[in-house]
Amino acid sequence: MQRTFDVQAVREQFPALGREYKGRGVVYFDGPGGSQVAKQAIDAVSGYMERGGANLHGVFPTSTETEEILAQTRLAAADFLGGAPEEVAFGANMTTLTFAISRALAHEWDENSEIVVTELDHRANVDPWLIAASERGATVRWVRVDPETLTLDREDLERNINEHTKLVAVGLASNAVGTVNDVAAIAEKAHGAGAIVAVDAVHAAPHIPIDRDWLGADVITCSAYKFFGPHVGVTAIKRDLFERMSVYRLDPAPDHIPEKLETGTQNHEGIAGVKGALDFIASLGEGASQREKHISAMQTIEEYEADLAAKFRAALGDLPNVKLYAAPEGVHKTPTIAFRVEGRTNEEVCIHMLEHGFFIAAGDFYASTLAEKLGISDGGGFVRAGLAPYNTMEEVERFIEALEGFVKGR
Amino acid sequence: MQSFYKEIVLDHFQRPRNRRGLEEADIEEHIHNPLCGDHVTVYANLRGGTLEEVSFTGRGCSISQASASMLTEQLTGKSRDEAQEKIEAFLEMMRTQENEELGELVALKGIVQARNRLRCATLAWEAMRRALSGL
Repeated sequence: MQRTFDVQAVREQFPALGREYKGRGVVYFDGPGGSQVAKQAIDAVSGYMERGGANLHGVFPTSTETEEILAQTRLAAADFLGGAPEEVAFGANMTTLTFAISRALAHEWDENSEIVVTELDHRANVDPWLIAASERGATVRWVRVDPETLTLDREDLERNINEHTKLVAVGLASNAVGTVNDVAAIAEKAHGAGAIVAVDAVHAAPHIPIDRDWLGADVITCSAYKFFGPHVGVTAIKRDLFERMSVYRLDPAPDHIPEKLETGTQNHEGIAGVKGALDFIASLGEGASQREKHISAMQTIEEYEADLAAKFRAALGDLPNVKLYAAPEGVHKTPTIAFRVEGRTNEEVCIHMLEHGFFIAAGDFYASTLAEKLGISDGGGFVRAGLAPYNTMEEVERFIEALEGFVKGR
Repeated sequence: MQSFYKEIVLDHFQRPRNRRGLEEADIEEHIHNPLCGDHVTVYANLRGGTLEEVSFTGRGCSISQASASMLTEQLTGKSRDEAQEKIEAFLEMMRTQENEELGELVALKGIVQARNRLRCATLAWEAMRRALSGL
């Protein structure tokens, strides 16, 4: 039986949906670049600043309240990703956090070390590791993406992991084409070789339930601005690893987890907003605990979005001169739909859709290895329609109709 | 003609007929097309051999929901045999060509040109076919 998902009630939680462009309501299909922000998150950000903020470790209320907000957000993020609050650290964004984590983990690497990255990943989960490897003289191995199925080549992955492997960096889902990787199986193989598994969950976090330990991730990192919150990065690192990680930090700064990774004064109002966003997500779910609510909410969102995405992909598949980039049926995917229109530039497509009120982006979205492999780097990559829980079936149908008019020259 | 068909379908989508669940109904059949994202549940009671209170709930694209709305109007008051005949005729039309005897249902055939959308239009009918054959 279908679950209930009240999209109108969800939409009411997003003030930005009231925006108009040239007299018509905006349709946001740019969620993978950054979602719209839930009212609860906006209120939490402004509420923090209105009540009065402060730095940490003071005896006065604005300081102790700030510490309390950080603690509560850590707890909420741990409930969202699976893990303990003291394993959760904040940062500017996933890229910045990954640079800090890679530099710390690379202390354990030398010329005999190897690391594994993938051709499917966003470069934020590739380049920080490549730079760290290069500084330590370690060898980099790339896992091939199959350009036909847009999935990772599992045999190639198995070949690339060996007793020298120190790290396997893999995305939970592709931000460009939506393929969800079988991270649990990859992590099992990596752990068998004694390697650390670093998972980029930025694209997946707004779409599917996440359990760090079920996935076998030692490090899992995401960004709240993709899941209805402000621009803050969040990582959850397994305690043993986190404790032994030798991070770059200032001498007077904390040397214990998780604060040792949080260089400089954090974005307190943003972190307050992350809590607002996570509370919003939990409000869509059911369960006795926050963790249960998060999982149930994400399952409901996933189911709702999967129906929209199925319609979207099926309808795109019917349009002439439209090339859809999607893993085959049966492969788990997020509702992120990449395509190109033959004979038209991506910019022309985006501008045409903008005239119909759709905010939609094009590019390689930093999944540049994948775009190169598909031979579309020079052509400007993909047009990417990314769905969010505030999108509707009606918007999907209107999009298809407007795109059909474009490809048929109407 | 195409825009006339479209009007009929949109009217059923925007003002769906008999869109409600029926508790303890003689017929309750849910169907989901994962490839297209549509859900439909059809309901009906059998009174003295005829289908009464034919209704539906669901969510999905305009075609799937409009088609379910049309089904409820088309099958209310029909005997089981008549309903099955009508369902077969509708499914046959969707596979082949327009059949003027089917009245406004022709609108669905008219606007569903693409193979991928066919299932959207037939979903509710397949659910009712399955339910009736199981009675």
